[in-house]
Amino acid sequence: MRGNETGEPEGAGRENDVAGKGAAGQLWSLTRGRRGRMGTVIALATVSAALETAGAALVALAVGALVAVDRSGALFWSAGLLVAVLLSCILQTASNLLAHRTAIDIQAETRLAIGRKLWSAPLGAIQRIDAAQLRRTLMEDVERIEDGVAHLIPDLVTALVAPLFIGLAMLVIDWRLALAVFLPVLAGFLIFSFILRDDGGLSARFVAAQAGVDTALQEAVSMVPVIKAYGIAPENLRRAEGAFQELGDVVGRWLAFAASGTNWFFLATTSSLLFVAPLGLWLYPLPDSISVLMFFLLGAFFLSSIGARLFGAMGRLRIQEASLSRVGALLRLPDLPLLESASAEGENIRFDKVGFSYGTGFMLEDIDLDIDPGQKIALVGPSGSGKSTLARLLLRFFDPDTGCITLGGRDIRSFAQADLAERFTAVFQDNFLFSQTIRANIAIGRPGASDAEIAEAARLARADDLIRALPEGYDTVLHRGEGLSGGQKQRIAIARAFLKNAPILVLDEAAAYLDPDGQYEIQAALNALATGRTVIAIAHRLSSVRHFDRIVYLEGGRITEYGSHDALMALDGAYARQWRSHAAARSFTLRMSGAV
Amino acid sequence: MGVHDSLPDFGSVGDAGLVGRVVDGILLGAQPVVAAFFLWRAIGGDPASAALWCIVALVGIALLRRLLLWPASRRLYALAYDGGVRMRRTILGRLVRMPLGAFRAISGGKVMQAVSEDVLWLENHASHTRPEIAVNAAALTICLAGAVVVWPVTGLSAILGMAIGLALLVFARRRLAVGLERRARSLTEVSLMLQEQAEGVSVLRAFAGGTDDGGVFARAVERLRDGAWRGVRKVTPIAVLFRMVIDLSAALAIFLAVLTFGDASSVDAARLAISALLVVCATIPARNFASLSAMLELARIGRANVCELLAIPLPPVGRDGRPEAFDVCYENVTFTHRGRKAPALADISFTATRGEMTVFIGANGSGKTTCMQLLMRFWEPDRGRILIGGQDIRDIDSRALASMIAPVFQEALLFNETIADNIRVGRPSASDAEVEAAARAAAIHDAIMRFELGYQTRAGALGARLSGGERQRICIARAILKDAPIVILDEATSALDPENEEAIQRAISALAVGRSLFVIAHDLSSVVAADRIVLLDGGRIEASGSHEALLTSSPSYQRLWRRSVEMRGWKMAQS
Repeated sequence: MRGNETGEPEGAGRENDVAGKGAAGQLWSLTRGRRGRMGTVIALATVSAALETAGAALVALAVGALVAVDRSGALFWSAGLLVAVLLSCILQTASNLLAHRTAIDIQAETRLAIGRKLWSAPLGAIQRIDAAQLRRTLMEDVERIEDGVAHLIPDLVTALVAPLFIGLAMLVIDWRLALAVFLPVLAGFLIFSFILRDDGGLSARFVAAQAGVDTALQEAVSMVPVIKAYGIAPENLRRAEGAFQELGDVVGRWLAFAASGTNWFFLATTSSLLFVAPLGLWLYPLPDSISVLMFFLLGAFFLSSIGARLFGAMGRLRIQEASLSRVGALLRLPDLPLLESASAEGENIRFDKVGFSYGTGFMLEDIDLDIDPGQKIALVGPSGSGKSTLARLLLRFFDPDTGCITLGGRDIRSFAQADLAERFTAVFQDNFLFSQTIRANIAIGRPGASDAEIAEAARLARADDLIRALPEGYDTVLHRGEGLSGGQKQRIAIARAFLKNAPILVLDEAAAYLDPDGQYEIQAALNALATGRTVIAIAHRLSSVRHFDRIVYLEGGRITEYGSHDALMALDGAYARQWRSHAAARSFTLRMSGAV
Repeated sequence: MGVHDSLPDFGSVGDAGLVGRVVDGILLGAQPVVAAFFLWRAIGGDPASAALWCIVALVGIALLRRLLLWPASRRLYALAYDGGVRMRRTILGRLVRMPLGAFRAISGGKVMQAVSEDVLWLENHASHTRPEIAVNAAALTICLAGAVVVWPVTGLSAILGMAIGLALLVFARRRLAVGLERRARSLTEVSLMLQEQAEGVSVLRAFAGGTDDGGVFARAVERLRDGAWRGVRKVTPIAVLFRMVIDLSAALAIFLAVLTFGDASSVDAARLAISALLVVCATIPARNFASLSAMLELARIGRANVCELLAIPLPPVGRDGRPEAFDVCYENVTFTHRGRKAPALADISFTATRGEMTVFIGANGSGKTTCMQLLMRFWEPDRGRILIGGQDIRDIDSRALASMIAPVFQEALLFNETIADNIRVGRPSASDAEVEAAARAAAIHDAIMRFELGYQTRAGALGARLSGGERQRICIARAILKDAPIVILDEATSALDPENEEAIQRAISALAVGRSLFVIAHDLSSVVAADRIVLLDGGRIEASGSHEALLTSSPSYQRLWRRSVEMRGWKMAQS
């Protein structure tokens, strides 16, 4: 039993049982829009299977003719056998290729649909999915659809149709022998499904245990530096050890329980001659009736091979199950709603009684905030106070639970994503760079930009020199930004924001401190970027906020203080306290540096 | 050869389970032979007695198989999964012990491929492929042998045809495997690209506004579509041709037999009929070889990959225990990364006595991190040596070495376990109170308590809700809990978490008391308190000494310091 390489998320086993019968149905529903092609696939496979059955009949007829000393008849039938085999193979090939083509197209479509979902669902919902899990669904789970559509659907159909042909033909000839042929195979299926009727979730556990080993090992591999440095013995890697033990345990149970059913099934389906051979010998005088006997014996043999195939298909169907349900869950994520649009006037931003919760404790409450065009606002507060969340709501990574955010008087939920994106530019904390050329990375916000425009943006971001210093300049392909310092990445990200040239800048300042060498350039670049735009900055250090027009001080998800630096100092609240302790710390270092 | 010794086996070829399955295959193939035999006996004989003996024989075979099949396949499954677990343990143990440099040199995809896919294929080989090959080969042989005995023309021509088919498989199996492997490779590559698109979706959405304008995602999907189709076109003809050859060889054998039949008796006709029955029965086990040979190839590739991984030599094992003193001394240490010309570190010498704080500064790529990684033996110096308490670290047992050093890495690596467990990595025996004390010291306690499950929250379940700085502070708590005499700190930490900079600085000061502290500094805020500042440039020590000493003696240090002071006074001005 080749298990599977799924990354089973914890708890996926639960869905398994419910959807146990639905995998075939789910697969079939994936072929929507391609039913014509699938119909052809199935028709071809069915005719091919019928020809295979006919082969058994032709062998029987040929030997029958020989026994009856009809040599030309025997030659005719055996030549017919050759033709039937050839035709069957050709039809099988056509069916196979067409099925693969269909499956591959469905895979591509499913991946594109997931891609669209990444763009249209609330970003927060997507970021909640583990990146590795997302990749597994996008790649491995969708990959598995190929087996489902290209093999399982035709296999299942032929496995059900072919016995029907054989069975009907046999019934017409001799119902007693027909019964003898079908008896062991049916018994096998009955025993099998009886034993596995309720496996106590063992199959699901088995698949989950294998996936668990996989996940635990992946984690261990990514943690190797810590494991080495903290001298953790491999046997003390609890997740890996636990996963190993679980797998061992499940295999043990499975062998003790399910294996017996499997073996009975295997034994019964491969003992197809058990009843039919003796009964045939007893009922039919030889050699005169040899063709009847031959047909039944060969038919029984084919039937047992179909049984084995069906058995394999059922196992694989079970594996499809989990994959299909993960793909389905992703595709079922709701899209961000698009409200009725009203006309917008100006770029005034307004938070109106905005409330938001991640659903697990943390929340923003009762946020009222007006930002005029061109104003520079600093969001300040202890870590976890909600600064980043506030900025994320504005970029519509999430929608607020209560209240609304308006832009020029129009609810941001009524903007098409592209329209909204047009008004914002952002510099994030992580400076995410794609494994593409630097040029492409800068041009992300304006794919049609000319080389001169890109270079100009880079120059404004003070990144032009550093890019030109690279061996391939703007054509250097970044591997996730490897080899660049934090500050260099930041400057490329700023160039990106320059090129986009949108009126509102959302800025996370944290990364501005990553690189001692480049700090000066980065500050200068950010200042240039801020000029002439509305700025909403998540400020992590007080030294940079003093000259903002307004400071929004957040604590515990609420705005507790709001005003200019001077006003807040006069208020003498939390901000003023922090400022003074910050100033004290700074003057300490400055005093030290007085020695220069 | 030694590699193969260390590769846990899955039961030898002569294993009882496998022998059992071979016998089962023989019995499987014997069924049509038995039926054919009694068919023969019935002709001109007594049909009733033939029928009776036939059922006796077939029931006998079924019972024998029932007795044999169960223990044999159970044994094989147990061996396969047990072997799989042992192999994964071996690989994991090996990965953990091999020098980090060697580990990093293998691409991450390859390691994962080895521990999951490749081992799975080997498992599958032991539980399924190998026994199935044995069963099918045995059944095939019995049927064909029977056919030859009964009617040589049918039997021999079928053997010839099927031999051609099997030879085709043997020759094509490379092509088959290459097709499969290449497809797997393109999958990995595109998979990383798609994953990146998924991870960077916040940037894409903020900048490109909800459309895949650049078409990167769509292009990747197209590449996958093309690759898959190419693979199908490569593999399908072989599979089809094989199946055709097998089926046709039976049909052709029958046709030839009929053609050469002449004017023999009807009894001979019955013999021919029996041979026809047997060659058609032989096609079923023969057909199975197509998928079996593909799986065999995958197992072979898997085995080669695993062996390659296990062939990476481990560093020599130190025997000495933990030294008494903890002074760290670098003596002319030189180290070059594999495949690079310029040394990452050249001729590094310094001594840090216990309780001192040493700060490394320098531009990105100047060797700060590598220098500290050598102390943890992530890499081995090419020349020179590193001593702790006067003992060469190569002579110190790796556990003992690990027990002396508490590092906080730049990348905040967390296990997907509870936060408490993650901190407890520092000292597995620590009580809950000690874990909490460490978390408080690292200024992370309050943040942890914001989560509903507090310390019992699983780190992985938090995703983006755990900021980079919070992850770092959990790692600092881990280091605090470890209570080791040597502490290594990569200070990217404070940059990621400016709100808590002061709290972290306090925690670090607490951590430093009585310990040797090595700090890789990314800005100069922490250097003033250092006993020694090591300014690295291109892998060499450019200057070293106290802050005051360097301010007077080193022009580069002066420049750095001046700029840092300037930065701190910098305002977000729009003048």
